[in-house]
Amino acid sequence: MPIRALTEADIPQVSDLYWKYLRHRGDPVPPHLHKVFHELCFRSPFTEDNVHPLVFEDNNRVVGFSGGFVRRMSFCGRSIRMLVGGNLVFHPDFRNGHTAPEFVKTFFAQDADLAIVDSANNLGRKVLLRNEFRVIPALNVHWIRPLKPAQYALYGLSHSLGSFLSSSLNLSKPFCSLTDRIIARMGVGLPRPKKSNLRGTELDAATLLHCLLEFRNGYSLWPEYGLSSLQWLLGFMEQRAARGTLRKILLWDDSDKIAGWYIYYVKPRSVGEVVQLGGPPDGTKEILDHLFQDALGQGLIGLHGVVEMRRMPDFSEKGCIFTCRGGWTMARSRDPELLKLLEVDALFTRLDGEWCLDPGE
Amino acid sequence: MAVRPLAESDIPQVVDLYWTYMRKRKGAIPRELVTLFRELFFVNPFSDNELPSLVYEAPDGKVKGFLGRNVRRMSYYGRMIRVVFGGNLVVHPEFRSGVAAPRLVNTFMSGNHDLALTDSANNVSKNILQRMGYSVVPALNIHWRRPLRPTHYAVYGLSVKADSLALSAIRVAAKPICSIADSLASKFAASPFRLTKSRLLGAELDLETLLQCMAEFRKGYSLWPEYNLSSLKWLLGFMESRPARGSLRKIVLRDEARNIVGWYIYYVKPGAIGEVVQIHGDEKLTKDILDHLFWDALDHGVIGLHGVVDSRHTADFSDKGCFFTCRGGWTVASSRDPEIMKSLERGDALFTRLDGEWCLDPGD
Repeated sequence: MPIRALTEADIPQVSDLYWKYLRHRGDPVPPHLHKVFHELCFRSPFTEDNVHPLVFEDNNRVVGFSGGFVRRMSFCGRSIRMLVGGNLVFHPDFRNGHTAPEFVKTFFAQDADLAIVDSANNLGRKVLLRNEFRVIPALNVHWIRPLKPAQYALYGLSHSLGSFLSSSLNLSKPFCSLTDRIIARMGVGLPRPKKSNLRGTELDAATLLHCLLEFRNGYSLWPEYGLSSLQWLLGFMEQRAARGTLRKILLWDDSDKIAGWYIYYVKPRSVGEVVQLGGPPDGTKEILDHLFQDALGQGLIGLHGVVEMRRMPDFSEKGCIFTCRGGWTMARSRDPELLKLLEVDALFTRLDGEWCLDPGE
Repeated sequence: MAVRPLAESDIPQVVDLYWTYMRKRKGAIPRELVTLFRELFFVNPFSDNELPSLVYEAPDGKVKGFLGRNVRRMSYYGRMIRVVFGGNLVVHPEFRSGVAAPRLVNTFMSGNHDLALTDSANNVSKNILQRMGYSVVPALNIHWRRPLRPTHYAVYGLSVKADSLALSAIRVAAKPICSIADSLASKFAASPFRLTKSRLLGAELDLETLLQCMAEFRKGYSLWPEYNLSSLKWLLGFMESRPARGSLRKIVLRDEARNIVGWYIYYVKPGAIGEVVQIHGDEKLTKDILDHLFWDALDHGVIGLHGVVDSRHTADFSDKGCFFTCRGGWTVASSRDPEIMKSLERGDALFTRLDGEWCLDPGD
């Protein structure tokens, strides 16, 4: 049987596959990556005995891997199991068009009420579509907010061009900084982030848990956390340096009431990835103002995230544009009601799937 | 001071309000605008004597506020419903702090209809309507944008937004550089601006075919507009007679077996942005339909396209290099039936720019 559950002994081979064929790195696997995979697959609070990450074996050699987790969600108050797939990787010799779909089929045949993937690439999307997964439009709206437009455009260009052209483009950084200053002074382009009336403080896991409970009204499907799972998750995310430093801010209004929160990765002179933004729906614009000012203060040139469709108009008013590029969220369930709820009524952010459990580099 | 139905004799005063305070234009009102308003609110097949447009009359008998109303027939799970569209809400500045706008909207909403919609509200109207119980429906507010000549598009965007003579001059001066940059951008294989030639065949779309297409490709939706040949003929005729947005181009698409698989309708304005009115068809072929549209628009000298996307097709539009925003006119809705509102929110309504008031804009 070439498909079986991952064992601890497989970790070095899995790390190797991941490093070479998912990250496309030619250097040796960093030793800490073994620990990361070990923690993710065997120590995380999102592992369960009856659901396993899988490996595909050929002549006692691991040639394919699919990570996966189980998250608890609440579906109109009833606890359900959500199987989250992640890090599907195959050795190039086994990418024959049959193995991966079969492997995905086996992985998602494991018991769950809902199966979801939140950062599939285009190839993964094709494989999942063949396995009855559906792209959920409401969960695939990625927002983009350039904070320094010319530098952001340069960043975008240099990421889509080859390394030689990217280095040449880097020479124009001073010119871009100047352009950003001129654009800001002329008042053209995107609206300048406003100074927010809210006050920000450091957000801890216990307060985040309280916020998640407090602000889930109006949703029918939401993630369930305990303090220990949330602490573990935030701790794991804080250790992954590739995306930057994790910044967690709680927002207060004038009367010292919690007005919202946000969590994002800070990487100065680069784009910050927003993990979660929460709070009352009518306070979204104020929260965004605070976030944008904070990100500018941290030296970011832009922000990316995934927006809930119901908050889209507010994000748009604050100068965000949207795309579906940035990883596909797809879902499958035997219960059509669950899929319908995902379309309009789900509180599902980057904190609640596999995006935040990326092993990184 | 009262809100009352619009009378034909009010038209000159309404046009004056519209021209001066909505279009913010000075000088003489074009004579054809009076004829146009008469056609829009008294001749149009979407005007309804039971649900007329409204004016706000000051104590001196002068018209100081106006709210246009059109009534469309739509099908909701096969049941015919009455959908009213409010548009061109304009109030004289001296009456803006008072009750004029709320009274107009309240009277509008108290009419006998199943759903009230506005599909091109500006920020001020949106805020008024939200206070009166309307909701912004995110699924109907996703505007797509596709730069076809990206640097021309960027410079055009900046110059239109800044509305300054200097930037307009820069736009003209930058044209040759933009052309070179755009040609380079379309050559890179990895460029998001590279276009793919469509395998579909395009031909002029006539009214009968459009009507047939609408009936054929509405499966999977719970709410859709109902047309007949005469209402569609009037509508497209009206749209063709409004030159502000450009010339109206209507294309039907067929596959290799000559089966109709989709269509699109858009305004062509060479050297500017093309506004897409409607694009629809076999959902498996959305990307091919987009490919055809992009080539066609580029061929006609359009530098970029704007439209409103059906939320269930955002992935395909994104794959084809479109990005999205909610800017471009708000669609807000109100209904006493929560199920109708849920259908709109779920993205279950087949509702395009052809089906509301956007296409009935009187223009300049």
